[in-house]
Amino acid sequence: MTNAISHLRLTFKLAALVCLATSAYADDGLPSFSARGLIDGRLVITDNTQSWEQRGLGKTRYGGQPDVIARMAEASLILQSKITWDLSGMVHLTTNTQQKNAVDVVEAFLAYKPAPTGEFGFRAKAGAYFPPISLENSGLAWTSPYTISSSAINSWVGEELRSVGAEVTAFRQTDDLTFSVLASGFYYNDPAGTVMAWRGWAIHDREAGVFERLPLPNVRIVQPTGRLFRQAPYIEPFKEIDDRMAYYVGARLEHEDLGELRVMYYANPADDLELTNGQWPWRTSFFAAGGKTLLPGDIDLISQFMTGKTTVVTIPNGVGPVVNTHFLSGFALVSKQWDKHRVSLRLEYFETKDKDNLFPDNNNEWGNALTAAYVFRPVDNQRLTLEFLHIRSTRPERTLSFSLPRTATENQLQASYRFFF
Amino acid sequence: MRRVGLVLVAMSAWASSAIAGTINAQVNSDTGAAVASAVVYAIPATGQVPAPSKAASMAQENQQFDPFVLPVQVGTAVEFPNRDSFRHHVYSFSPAKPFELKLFGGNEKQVVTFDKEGVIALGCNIHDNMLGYIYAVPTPYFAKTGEDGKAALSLPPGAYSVKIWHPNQKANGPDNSTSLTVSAEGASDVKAAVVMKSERKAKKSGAKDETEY
Repeated sequence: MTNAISHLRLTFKLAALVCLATSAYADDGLPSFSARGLIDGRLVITDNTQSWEQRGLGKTRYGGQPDVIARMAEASLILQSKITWDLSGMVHLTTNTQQKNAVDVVEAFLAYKPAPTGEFGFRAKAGAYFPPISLENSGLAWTSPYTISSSAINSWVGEELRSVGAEVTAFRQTDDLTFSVLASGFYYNDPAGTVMAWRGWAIHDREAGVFERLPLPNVRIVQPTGRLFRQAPYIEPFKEIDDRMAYYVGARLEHEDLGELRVMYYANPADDLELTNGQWPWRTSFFAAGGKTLLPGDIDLISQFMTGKTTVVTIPNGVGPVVNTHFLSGFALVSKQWDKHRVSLRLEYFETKDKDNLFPDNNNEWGNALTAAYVFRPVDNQRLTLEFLHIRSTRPERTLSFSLPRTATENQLQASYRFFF
Repeated sequence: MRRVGLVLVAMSAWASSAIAGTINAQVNSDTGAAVASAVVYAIPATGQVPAPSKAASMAQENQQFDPFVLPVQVGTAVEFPNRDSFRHHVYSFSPAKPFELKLFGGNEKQVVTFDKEGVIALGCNIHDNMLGYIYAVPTPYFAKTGEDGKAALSLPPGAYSVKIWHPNQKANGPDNSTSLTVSAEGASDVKAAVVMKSERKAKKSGAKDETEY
């Protein structure tokens, strides 16, 4: 019940933020409103593994069905309002057959972006938004123009990271070079890290809404006899539990001919002992970097890297955290577009390392993945994507919690039809 | 980085009358392909030029600047009509003329006077993929190459310095200016080379399809 009330409160706050700002500046034909969106229908052939969606340790979005399955993978609606010439609001609503609520909010924020008429400038936003890590998800509604499934790094960003706060970017620009620094202080992301530690990396396209409840694999440590049995059998990534602010700082270099480079440091200095409603705040920090360029032959190259750690229940007096997991991943994606066609190939590596030996849980993992995709766009607002995803990973906890072989090879073939409006 | 050499062949040509001569320019890449939207301009050696008298317009249509490159004489008042049904927030941070225009859809137009020589790169604060250029030159004698790479200048006989500019030319390329004398009769050939940047700028990486928020 308290959950429902806090959901309502946050929804109300986000909606009020947009509405109040909207009504306060009504002049000159502004504010204006627009709505856009997409519907994604999917056919999937997948291995008979237990997906993370089914509380297993499978790494794909779909699993456990022997036949071809048809799903409404996503319907998203983007409501935008131009409030003044410099101020706009955006709300991204989404629905799919797997999420907890019928409709959820992926992002909702106000953006202040004056025209950059000088050498120096700044912009800001406030609300609920993705930390700017992904270089893949540049399409409408955080989709990727290259593949169906995001890389392991950006899948994690999509499911566990959302900042509810404010972000400020300052930049200096010359003819062909822009250098930006950015900083954000935020709340409501305390459980981020739970999925990373107990499930590990996954590769999919299901970003979580801010009221979402993600399935938690039924690993030993959260079972009734486990040390952290008070953890709920699900994860609510977007909760504020310890009232401590988290932050990220970053820098970005964009060159018109050479491409783009980004670096970021993220830290949530959480009080990882304060369990509330079955959710712990996780002390999570990481470094993320990414680059994007155009190779000879007009081939897009995108690469990202991430390394960090997350801990929970740090026992005082030098005993240390009950769970301490270090994580690392990197990928490279090449993509070539010609006319209405685009082919993309992505290779990635991922690992997590269990750095604690206090209680029985084994959060070690290592694996790699290959994603190959072909996109056909008969017209601007329709897109047909065929994607083959191959993941091979080793996670000892598969044996220890599920009596399965610790190494799993997963293949998933998907056909997606996206209609944009 | 692809290097493209530009070759300018300027011919000071026979005049149609005693008053005006002509420069016919052909701008090609070194592979022989015609280069469109290059600005060819001639500055009189005397430094004496008439005041700007030509009208100029930089429209926004179908979420693009039209034309992509607009050469104007310094001091020209340029109209910015918005022919789209939605808003454009046109701006430039170029030192030659930083400005911003807030243009509602349905043919609202505003005017900006470009009073300094140089490149003015244009953007739209709402539609990041929009890109255009105004090039302000200290002479009324200029022309822009068409798809065939050809440009023709009509100008009074006399001594000129002829230059070429293209938005994708490399800043540290060799000087492409050349001096020639335009006479009412006869012709002279001039060759100049410009090193070009890659054309990546025009096709920002990734799909521009549905990225604007």
